[in-house]
Amino acid sequence: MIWLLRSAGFVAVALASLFLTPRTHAAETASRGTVVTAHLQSHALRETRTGLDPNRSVKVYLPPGYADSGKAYPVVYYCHSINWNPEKMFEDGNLVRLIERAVAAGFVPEFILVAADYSSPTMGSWFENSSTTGRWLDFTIDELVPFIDGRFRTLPQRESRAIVGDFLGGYGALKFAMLRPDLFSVVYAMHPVATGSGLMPMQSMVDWRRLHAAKSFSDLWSDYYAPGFVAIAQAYLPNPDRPPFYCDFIVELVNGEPTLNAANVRKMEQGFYLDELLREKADSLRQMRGLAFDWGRYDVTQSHVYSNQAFTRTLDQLGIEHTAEEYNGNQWDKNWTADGRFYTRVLPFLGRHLVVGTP
Amino acid sequence: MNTTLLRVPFLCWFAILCLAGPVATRAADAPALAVVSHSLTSTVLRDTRTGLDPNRDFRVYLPAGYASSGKSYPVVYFCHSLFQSPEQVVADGNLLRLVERGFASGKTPEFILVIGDYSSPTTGSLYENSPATGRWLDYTVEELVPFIDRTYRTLRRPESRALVGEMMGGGGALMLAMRHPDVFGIVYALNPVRTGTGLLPVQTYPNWEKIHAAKSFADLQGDPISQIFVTMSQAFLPNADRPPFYCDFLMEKRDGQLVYHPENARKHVAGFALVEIADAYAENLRRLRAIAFDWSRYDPIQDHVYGSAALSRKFDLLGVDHEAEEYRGIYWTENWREHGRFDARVLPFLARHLVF
Repeated sequence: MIWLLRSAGFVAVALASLFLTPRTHAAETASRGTVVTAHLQSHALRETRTGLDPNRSVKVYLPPGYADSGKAYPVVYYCHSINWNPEKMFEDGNLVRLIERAVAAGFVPEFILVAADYSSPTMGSWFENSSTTGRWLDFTIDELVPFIDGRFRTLPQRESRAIVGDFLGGYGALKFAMLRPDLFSVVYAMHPVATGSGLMPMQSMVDWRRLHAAKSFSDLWSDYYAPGFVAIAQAYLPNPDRPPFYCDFIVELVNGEPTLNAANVRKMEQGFYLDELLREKADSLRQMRGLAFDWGRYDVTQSHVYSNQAFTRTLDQLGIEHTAEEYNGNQWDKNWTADGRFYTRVLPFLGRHLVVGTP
Repeated sequence: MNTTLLRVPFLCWFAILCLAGPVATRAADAPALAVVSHSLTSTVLRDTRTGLDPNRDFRVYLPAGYASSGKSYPVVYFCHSLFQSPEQVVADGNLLRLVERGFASGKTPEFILVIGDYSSPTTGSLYENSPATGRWLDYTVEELVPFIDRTYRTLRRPESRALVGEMMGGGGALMLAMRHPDVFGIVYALNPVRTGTGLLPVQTYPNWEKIHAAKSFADLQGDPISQIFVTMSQAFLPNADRPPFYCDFLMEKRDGQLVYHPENARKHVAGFALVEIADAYAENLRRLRAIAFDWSRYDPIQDHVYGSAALSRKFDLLGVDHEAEEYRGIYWTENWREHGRFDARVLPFLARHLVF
């Protein structure tokens, strides 16, 4: 049981309890690191309309020798995607194997990997601050980072903090880099989404009559895009007075007819799309020691491909140094293989840009 | 048309600019490679219609410890692009510096680097087998590789032989690999050309009037695109009875008018475009240990971007495992800088896949 002082410009104290549960992976002994599970009682995620548990688990990978080394380590924050969680990230041991293989090969220094739980009773975080679905940005910035720096031997400086994620988590990683360059200086987004508005007007992707007929989230799953559209609306158009989803929509029913609400479209775009945020936050990205993102050419939602191509062009027009690679694959299949994107692209990138010691 | 076309002037100019630009600096602790220049008289390249000198002057770079180690090494064959020579490949020092530093830092274990001579009196090799311009593919596997293997301590097996090439040399590296998986096991093509037919109809690019009026290759001086189209025609539409170029064309002259010749165009593209050739070599491609190619998104010839993406799709449709990465920027600034494509992509790729 630990009292954790939050530093958000006002005096607030949150209760945090930490359970350290060392896990050893079978057949991985001597030089292997450990994955511990910590628990963080979140204030920012307390009042939601989705039944979110504010007691958040955080998986923390500690490098081999952490217990005895006395050293402080750089930290890589990992944002997982929607419909995922940290349990799944670590369950087959592959992630740790890739990290430790790269460390052994010498192209990345030992680091602490932090994987907070961005899952929810619906799809998971869209890296928003929403009264309906939770203040996930505040949770990460005001609670998670201080919690980790308070509990582990970290190098608590921007030069030694990276943020990495895939798909929605890649989006989150870029967003955190834009919002808090004072905290993070290295960012790698694997196949980020919502970097821009894509190829087609987003209202064209959903059967709005059916969506508006839904009584609960579970009524939406038969439609490929509908759950995401409701989740986005909950994240970026919250409305506490409007059950069942407690949000407004970009297409509303007017006299029973689906009708575009241009004001809501604009509001949603401004909150959600990174190219909108970039207008204000270009300087944040200029301050990155390392900025990279990549994407698979074969994402069936080609809007993601198109938006990422547009996003890198915009960065170039702004004169922001970065890496932007498009590869043959979809949003998943090349990331976690033995010689996949994480091993051959992300880890060497972290190795090049993370500072071990004093900058 | 995924030719080198406008790349050629860019290549020439930017090779010069690179000398003044930021280059990888030599690490104090990186021992220099030992260079050996060879001149090998080729039999395969003896009878051409272009006045090609069958004495090929290529270079071999040995790891610093080669003389005393007693070890056998894998070999990386570098294929240069059009209007280039082995001398020009190493002129700015970047390639060798990056290799030396790669060895010194442990980024890649040591290998022997061979820079073949694919230059010619005209444009240089398209990595073809043609009675008019030379059987360059045969020359490589029948003469160059055996020469290297009998002259140096090499690991004589495909998994220890890699091809790396840039632009036309990248296309050549892919071509050699897909035809000879029994010789080469690993291939990395930097910004390959001749991958596909691009965005525009193939006949769009050169000055056909000028080509048909020319009495010799020299008459096309200053027009590299037309020069390359003549070489392509010589390579893929050879005709021993037709001076001065000893080839047919996909645009012919009839009664003083230029006429599109669809059959010739078909043959031309079928011989040239890797995306078409790949079908016949699918089994070979699957046998290769590792394939990668990349290309720059901001190539002013967007045909190259389009063609390379199409080739990658073709490989995926054939079930040919490969890496195909489109990157930000332009190849002439990205390929040879520190942490650039060769340094951060090619060398680690070789380290992962070559058997040392």
